[in-house]
Amino acid sequence: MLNIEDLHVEVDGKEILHGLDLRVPPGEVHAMMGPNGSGKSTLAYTLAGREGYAVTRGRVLFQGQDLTAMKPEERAQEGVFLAFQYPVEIPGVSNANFLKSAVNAVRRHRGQPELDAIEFLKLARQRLKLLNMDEASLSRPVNVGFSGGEKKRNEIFQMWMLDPRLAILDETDSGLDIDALKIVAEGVNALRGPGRATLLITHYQRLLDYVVPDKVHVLAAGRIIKSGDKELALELEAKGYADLVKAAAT
Amino acid sequence: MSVDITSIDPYIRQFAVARSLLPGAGFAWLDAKRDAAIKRFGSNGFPTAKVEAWKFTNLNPLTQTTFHNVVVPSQPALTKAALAPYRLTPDCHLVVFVNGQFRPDLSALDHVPDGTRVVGLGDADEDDLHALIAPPSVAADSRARSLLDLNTAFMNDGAVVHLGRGAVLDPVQLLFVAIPDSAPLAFQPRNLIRAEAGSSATVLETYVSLGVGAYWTNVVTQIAIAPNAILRHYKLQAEGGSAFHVAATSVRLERQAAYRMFAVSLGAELGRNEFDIDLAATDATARLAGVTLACDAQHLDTTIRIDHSKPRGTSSQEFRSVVAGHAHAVFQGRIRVAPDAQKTDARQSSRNLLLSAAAAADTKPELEILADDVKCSHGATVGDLDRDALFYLQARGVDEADARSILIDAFLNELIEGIGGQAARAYFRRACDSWLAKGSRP
Amino acid sequence: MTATQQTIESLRSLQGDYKYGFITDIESDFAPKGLNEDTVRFISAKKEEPQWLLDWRLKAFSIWQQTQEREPTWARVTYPKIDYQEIYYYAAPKRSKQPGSLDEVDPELLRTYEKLGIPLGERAALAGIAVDAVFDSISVATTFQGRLKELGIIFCPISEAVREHPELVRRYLGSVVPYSDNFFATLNSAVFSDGSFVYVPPGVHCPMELSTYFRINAKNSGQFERTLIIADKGSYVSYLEGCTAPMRDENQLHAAVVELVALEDAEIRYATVQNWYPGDKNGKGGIYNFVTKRGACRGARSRISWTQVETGSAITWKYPSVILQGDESVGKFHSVAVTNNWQQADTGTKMIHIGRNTRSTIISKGISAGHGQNTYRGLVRIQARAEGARNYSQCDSLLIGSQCGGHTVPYIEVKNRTARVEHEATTSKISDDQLFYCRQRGMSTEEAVTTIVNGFCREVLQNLPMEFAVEAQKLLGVSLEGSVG
Repeated sequence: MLNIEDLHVEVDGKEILHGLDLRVPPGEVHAMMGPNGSGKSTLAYTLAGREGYAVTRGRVLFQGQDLTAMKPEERAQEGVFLAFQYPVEIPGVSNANFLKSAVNAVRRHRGQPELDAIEFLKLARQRLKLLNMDEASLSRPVNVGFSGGEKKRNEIFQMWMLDPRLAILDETDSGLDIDALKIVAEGVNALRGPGRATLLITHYQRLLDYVVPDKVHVLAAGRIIKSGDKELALELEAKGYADLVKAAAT
Repeated sequence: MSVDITSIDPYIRQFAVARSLLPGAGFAWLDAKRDAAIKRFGSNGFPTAKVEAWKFTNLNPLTQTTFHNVVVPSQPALTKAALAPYRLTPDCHLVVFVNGQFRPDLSALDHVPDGTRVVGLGDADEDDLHALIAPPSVAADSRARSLLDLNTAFMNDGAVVHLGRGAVLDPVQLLFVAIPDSAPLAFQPRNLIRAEAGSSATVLETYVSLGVGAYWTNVVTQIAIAPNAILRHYKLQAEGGSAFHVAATSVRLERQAAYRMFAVSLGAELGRNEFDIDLAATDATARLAGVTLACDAQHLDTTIRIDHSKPRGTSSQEFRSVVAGHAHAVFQGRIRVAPDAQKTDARQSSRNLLLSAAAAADTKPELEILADDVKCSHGATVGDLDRDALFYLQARGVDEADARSILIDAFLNELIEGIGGQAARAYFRRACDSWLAKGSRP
Repeated sequence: MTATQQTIESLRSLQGDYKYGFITDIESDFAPKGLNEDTVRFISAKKEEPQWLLDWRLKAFSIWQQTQEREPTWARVTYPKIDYQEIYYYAAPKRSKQPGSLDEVDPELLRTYEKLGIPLGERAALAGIAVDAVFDSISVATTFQGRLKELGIIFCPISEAVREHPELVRRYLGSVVPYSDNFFATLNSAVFSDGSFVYVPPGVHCPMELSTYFRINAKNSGQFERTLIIADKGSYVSYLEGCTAPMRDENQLHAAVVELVALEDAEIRYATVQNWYPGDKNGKGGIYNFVTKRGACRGARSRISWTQVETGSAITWKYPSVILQGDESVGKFHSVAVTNNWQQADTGTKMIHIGRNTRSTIISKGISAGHGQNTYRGLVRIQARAEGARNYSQCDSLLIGSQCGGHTVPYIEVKNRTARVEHEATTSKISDDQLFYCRQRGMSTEEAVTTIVNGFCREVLQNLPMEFAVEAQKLLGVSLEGSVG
């Protein structure tokens, strides 16, 4: 599904990722863990195609296609979804209108018929219910006046509506209370399946109690320094990053 | 548009007499500048309401009187003690002007630190004169600059404050004292403040009157702030009740230079405080704030033009007025952001309190934005004191008049608190308090 | 003489961007080119007007002649000098007589309106909107007159109102915008050709939206329509106005006047979607839109609201205003103005508070892209007797690209201490974060810009009737095409 080879990324002329390799096969959930400043968000933004994140070496293949050659919206239409660490507020634009535009842009690309307002709302209501979200949030402006937890749940809701092939969740667990965390986890688990891959970017092991990853990677100073199974996350939780980082440096 | 000859003719005749006696006379270039200025004044006349920048301020009361420009005025006897109440601190550096003329005998300039020079216009060198005569830092309709032209023609004294590289002068006070005569006099001071790279200064201008009667202060101040220099500029306009006060201050800021200005205007029958600020290089900062306190039939105008010419400049304007009697307060503020002045952050706020039925306030906060990556905003309010707050105080047993004073005090204090220097803060609080004690009760 | 000698084919290639740019091939009557007293007399005679109206026009013309060198110069717009002698002041589709019903209207015209999406026939019935269609100088069709008549509502071309209801026209024409008001209003007073007239009798709530659709078609012709709406005591009317014009290389002048009068407890809501041809990408051609719109809240508790979406015209110069005379009367101004390519807009409002406890609200959203220049210019004046008056103004500018400009020039004059006036303004650009967020969800850059801009304008758009709001949202998208690259 996702195949990253020797990825080097610069931001403002400074290299942040120094040769990252990662393979996420279809059907798997991978967790990317690491201390602050290790390059986790840089990886997320690079995969989503944010301006200013320059790939200087290496390649990123998504379903066999070169992801780096595509515009952000083309990646989204191909099925790359990024749940933002800091979801953006768009005043005056209702959640429903925003998402309907997005869903139909993706459907057009996939050759599916566009949803009309009624079909869209039917689908949206159904998904909201599953996420224990208020229907009224559809008419509220995108993320404006949402609490931290509401914003994160709204990201998961959008993810469900857009039906991605590759979901990247950038610290979606941060700042959530336990109930919200469970809802987010259920949201991620529900999308597990053979046609999909998930990359969970997180600082803490907490989320992984609810979403059990197939693989865990540790990112430090722009490189993956260790990969393992879910036990690695527990080990990190117990020992912290410091030892591991030190061991990798020597 | 026809110009009212009768109002300008006396000044043109006065100039013919004074021309050869004015400081710098004999420098051909300066004579030419003065001649050109009086010529422009002659063709433009006094600004009328048709000139956009003077839309809200009618100069008729000023033009109805002929003021006399006297090159060498008689020098009234005055003691240092008489000036003590107006001083910022008893030991600050002090430059005193009486009826527009520098008075070394009343000044205190013995301990001016090394690397700085504080002199009267009579001791200005040719370099200073060039800087004094430089055009204002922000472009405007020449018809709006008529009184500045008149000053250029007649300027005959003023303060020259020069800070060398890295010099520190903290603080110096320019004290302008008027002693009105039976014949109405015009004073045309021209000040120069030059802060070289990395220097730092605090300059206070104070305008007061020691008698009763009409006179006109028409002052121009030129300020140039070099890279990394900082100027804290304060001004108290407490002219006599029958006076006219028109001031034009022009400031040019270089890279990473900073200008902080605080003004209190509460004197004069008609007053106008005009500032032209050019953030001429990157990363410059200008913060202007001020308070207008107007009562009786006063008309007090604050007009500000800020040009963001280069990227990453920051500017703020925060002005408040309290208007009583049948007074009239005017605020005009314009922010202009040039096409390449990206990352500009400019804010502007004008708040006006009307305390009586006949009080009036006009405000025109203007944005002219030609760059896209900017943060610019302005806000303006006009109205009476917040009724809920008044009621709250009254419900706690404070009578209405006291409640009003408390709220007005708070309204002004929010700005006064922002003054950096403690002496200046106390100085302005005193000025506001004494106005409030007599001026604010309808 | 035929008005349209160019072939439609030659225009087709240009029609990608401005979809209303076609020309209707129809025979027209013209007054001779240029303006003199005879032109005024010609127009008045064509309309079989009474002497008082001809006299009124001639007075206006004589003032206009004296002030000819004094087009207002205070607005932030630049344009080459207009040659008023090179304009046709009267152009009308030829026909034998006034059509009695839609069946008698030239089918070519009906097709034009069909193409524009304006419902003149059965579609109007479905949409529940009564339409007056003004083609160049004259009204070509007014629908639903019969049904409105039953309620006592008059909705007809103003030329017809002059004949049928002279007492009303005479009482109110020029009572809000006098013929001496300003250069363009004075010109309009001399040469106005047609426009709509509405009278809603006391206590009547007009059950449908009234709408006028303006279309400039003929070459070198100016359009000078005049609209007069009177809402008598306790009545209500909502009025919509739409405008388009063909794409032509030369500039065309549009100088309209709209007067609204609201008596005691009456309410008028006036909405405009102005999409005159804006000129091409290089600033060639386009309509010069110099319009005077003013409403008078004459009676106590009367209400007037202006909502405008200005996406068209090379130059927009208009300040829909409200004079709040009646105690407790309410004025509103909601505006979206878009300038792209080389368009210039100088628009805003005046709220003149005269009566006690009068209230006004101003919401202005200016969007500039390309080399567009967009100015909000507004006046809030609280007169000495306006005890308890309130105003709130919010003016936001959005800049797209580094070649455009957004300007805010508010004048606030307060002469009553019990008044409360608040003004806020901001200028910003579309944030990169918002753009990226939308694109990450699959939207193209243009879709993202349209989405964000529509959000920025929401407070204004939500004041439009539903069908208009949808149309306006699409227009915003089309107007900003190519602005982000």
